[in-house]
Amino acid sequence: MSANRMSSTPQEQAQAPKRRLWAIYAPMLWMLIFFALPFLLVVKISLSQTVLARPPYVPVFDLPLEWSDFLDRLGLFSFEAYQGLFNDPLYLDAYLSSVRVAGLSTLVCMLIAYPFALSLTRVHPNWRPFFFGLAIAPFCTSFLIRVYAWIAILKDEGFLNHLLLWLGVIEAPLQIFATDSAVLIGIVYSYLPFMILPIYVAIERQDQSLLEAAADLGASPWSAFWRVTFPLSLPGVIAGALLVFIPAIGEFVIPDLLGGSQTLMIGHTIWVDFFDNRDWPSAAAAAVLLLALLLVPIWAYERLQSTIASEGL
Amino acid sequence: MSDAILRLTSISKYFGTVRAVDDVSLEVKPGEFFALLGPSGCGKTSLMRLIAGFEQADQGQVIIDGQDVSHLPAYRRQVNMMFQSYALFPHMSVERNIAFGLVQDGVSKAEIANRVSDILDLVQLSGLGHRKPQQLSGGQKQRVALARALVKRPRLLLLDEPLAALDRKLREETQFELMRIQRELGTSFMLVTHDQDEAMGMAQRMAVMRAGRIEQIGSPREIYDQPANDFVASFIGKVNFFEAQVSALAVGQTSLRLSNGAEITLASSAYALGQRLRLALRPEDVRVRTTRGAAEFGSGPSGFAALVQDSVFLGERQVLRLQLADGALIEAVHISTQGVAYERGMQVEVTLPPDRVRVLPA
Amino acid sequence: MSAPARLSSRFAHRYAHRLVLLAGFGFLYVPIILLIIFSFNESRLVTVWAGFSTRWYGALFKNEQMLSSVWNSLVLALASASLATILGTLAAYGLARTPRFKGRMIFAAMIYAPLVMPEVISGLALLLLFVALDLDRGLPTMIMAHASIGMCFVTVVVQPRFMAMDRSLIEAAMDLGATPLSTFFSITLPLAFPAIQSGFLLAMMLSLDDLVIASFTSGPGSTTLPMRIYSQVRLGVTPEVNAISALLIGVIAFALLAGALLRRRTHAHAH
Repeated sequence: MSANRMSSTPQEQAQAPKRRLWAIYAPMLWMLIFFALPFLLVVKISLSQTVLARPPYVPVFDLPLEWSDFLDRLGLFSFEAYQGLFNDPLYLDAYLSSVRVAGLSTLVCMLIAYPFALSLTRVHPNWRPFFFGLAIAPFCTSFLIRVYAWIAILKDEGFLNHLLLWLGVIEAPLQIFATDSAVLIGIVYSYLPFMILPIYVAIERQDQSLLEAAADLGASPWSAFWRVTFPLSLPGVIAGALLVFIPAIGEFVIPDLLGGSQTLMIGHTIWVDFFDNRDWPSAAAAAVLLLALLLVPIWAYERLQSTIASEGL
Repeated sequence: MSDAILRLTSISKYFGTVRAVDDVSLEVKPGEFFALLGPSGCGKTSLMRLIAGFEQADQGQVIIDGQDVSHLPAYRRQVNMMFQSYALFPHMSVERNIAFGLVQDGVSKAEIANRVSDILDLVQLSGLGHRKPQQLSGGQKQRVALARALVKRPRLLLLDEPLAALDRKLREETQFELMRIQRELGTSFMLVTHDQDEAMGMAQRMAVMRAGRIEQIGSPREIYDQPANDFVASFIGKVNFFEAQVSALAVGQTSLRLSNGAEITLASSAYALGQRLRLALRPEDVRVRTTRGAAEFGSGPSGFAALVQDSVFLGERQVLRLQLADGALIEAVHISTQGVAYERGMQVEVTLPPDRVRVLPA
Repeated sequence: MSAPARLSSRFAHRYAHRLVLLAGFGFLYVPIILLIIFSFNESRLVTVWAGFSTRWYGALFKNEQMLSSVWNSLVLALASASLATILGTLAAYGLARTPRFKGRMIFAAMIYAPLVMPEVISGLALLLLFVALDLDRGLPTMIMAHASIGMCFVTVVVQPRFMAMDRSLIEAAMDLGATPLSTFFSITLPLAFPAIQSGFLLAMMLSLDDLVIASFTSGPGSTTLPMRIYSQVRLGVTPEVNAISALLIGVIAFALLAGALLRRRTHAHAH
């Protein structure tokens, strides 16, 4: 009698439609091989010893695994890579600085995206899709190109310094390029759409009559915003913050192109360990720890998504 | 009765521990317009889905045209359904929607074209075949849904709340339209609805359901005039209940004293002295007339006094809410053309015609 | 508040919103516009204007390495997005239609995790897999890698469409005699098609854009366009990179515009 949606009805589960199961198990098998298994391998390699060879590690156990071999090789287990991680201040600094830069970028993103998204929702409904598309469109162009565009702006002899010198704001060129500030600007610019999108959606779907009701009950536009619009948009803000923070922490391209030798970001460190130092166990161990660091925000994001989905918002 | 189009024998369906359908048996005859009536949650939708084959019964059999289809899936049953939401395929034109079932059956292209155009004529939608469902009005969508189900020439057509999505004016029109089409095709129709007017207006026979069980099966008139119990009596139309006790017996006659002190005599001797009974009387059977002079509450063999509490004018009739001497409220319907207009606060005299009173198990 | 005051405050609001929009779009678009302008610069410098020239575009079309990387990127994007669309649509259908099955939690987690996983980790993990399986790295491994990430995005885009699909449409098809398989192909799939299409485009875009995962899983001769651009950028900022960037932006802008116009047209057609 209620509107039937595709998902439920209890008797359907009981019948266990076998024909439908292959739709699940084919992609699931794929994901097990190309997602779950690789992560086990990362953990495995992180426990191996570094060797200057190809592949540059002594395997603890290989895929055609035999039990006796396994016992023999157990002796080869090594926490060397992890010890290295904790003893080398480079890694600790990289972790802390990643969290700091990503956190700061998220905050700046929020401060820019919120008023922007709010203003977008105040555009006349006929024009709103156009402006919204315009806001999201840069996201469709290559990430690499967008980061590259900032090199010419931020360099010592770049556009920004030219402009500021011409305006007389500064006397000598600012050193922005190859600093953490440049990385921060790059992250904010690249991930801004991730923040705009959920906030815009959270504000736009609000019933306009809520504001009218607030006004009718005597709230000024200012207080109506803080007491109605803003609280209702919080799930969008949180989703946006997680969508920026999580990938920003592991970012490689931005610190590589905009940062300097002082810039330490864990994603970059992993890359350098892997490609330049050929220290696979250290890179793998750093990846495992980065993943551990991200478990909480990833979990929080998935919880948020499932509550939003279940409330049908 | 092997000539039934549909026969259900002791059908039961459980959802977890809930018995959605509880030991239901019924038959629908060829060419019959049958209605399944009940409040929401009574199990009528589940029963219809069992017949269509979307669900399988836990017990009992579904027999269509003499063949046990209990374990056949929906796409192998010669039953079609008109969905409450119409369920028109949004990506197909009207024609392709209607042709869908015939294509599944492997009917030849030429015949499909013929049958689609015939059925479009029947539902008076010729010329709209190329439209998409989104471009149709509610009433047109409804007729496409009907055509799509009928074009397969099913043994039985199920109609799930067919009028629910239409506005009031269109509903009445559509009701006659459905009856016309049913008569013309001679297909058995099974209407599922919670609206008693719909069921009574269209069906030749109907079943009243409550809590998964069938309470009564019969023609609309039988069910209206002789409801099997309190539930049926109050679900089908309005009804006033009176508590009564047998006060005297005579040959072929029983005198009853009502709780408000009035007395009536029934032409029956099936009761024992002192027995408590429950009487049901439709509002339109309550006789009302103005009392001249006598202003006090009282009772006599000719009737009893009542006070008009509310009166609602509905054009051709007037609905009165009357307060009796013992404080009980009853409803009466007065035909407006019969002169008097009753107003709040008027004193009236009420009589209960014994031949219209129905005695229910207390 | 008096009527004129309220009116002026409303004007103030409107102008504040316009100012915010202007500043926001400025921030989003000025870097891209500067980049395009200086792709036409005569000099090697990308910050000092020395006159209009299209010489860098000419150089681009003589750059064999660049051209072959474009080809690699296209092959990779088409192949991986196709694979991702098939797998992702299946997964979305399974998740939407089967509320409970063994390993659903793990499955859902595996679908959602790559969406937010740092690329460095995914890339490293996939590389280690290919090394362990002793697969030669090249276009095939890159296709598998991109398909694995892309299918998650396809699933996320397509699944809501399956979830929101009115069940009575499916039942109506069955009622009219369509077998489950025929129902899937004649009703379910066509209705989900717009979402599947978006999923495919998204997967393709992600593949075309990816540098990190491609770098981890690539082998000799399978350099993609982002990898080529990256290695050029590392050598220095040149108008040639600006030129290829401007071309890419042009292609994407054209695709977006065409898509929007097409959608508007079908939209108008439907009503």
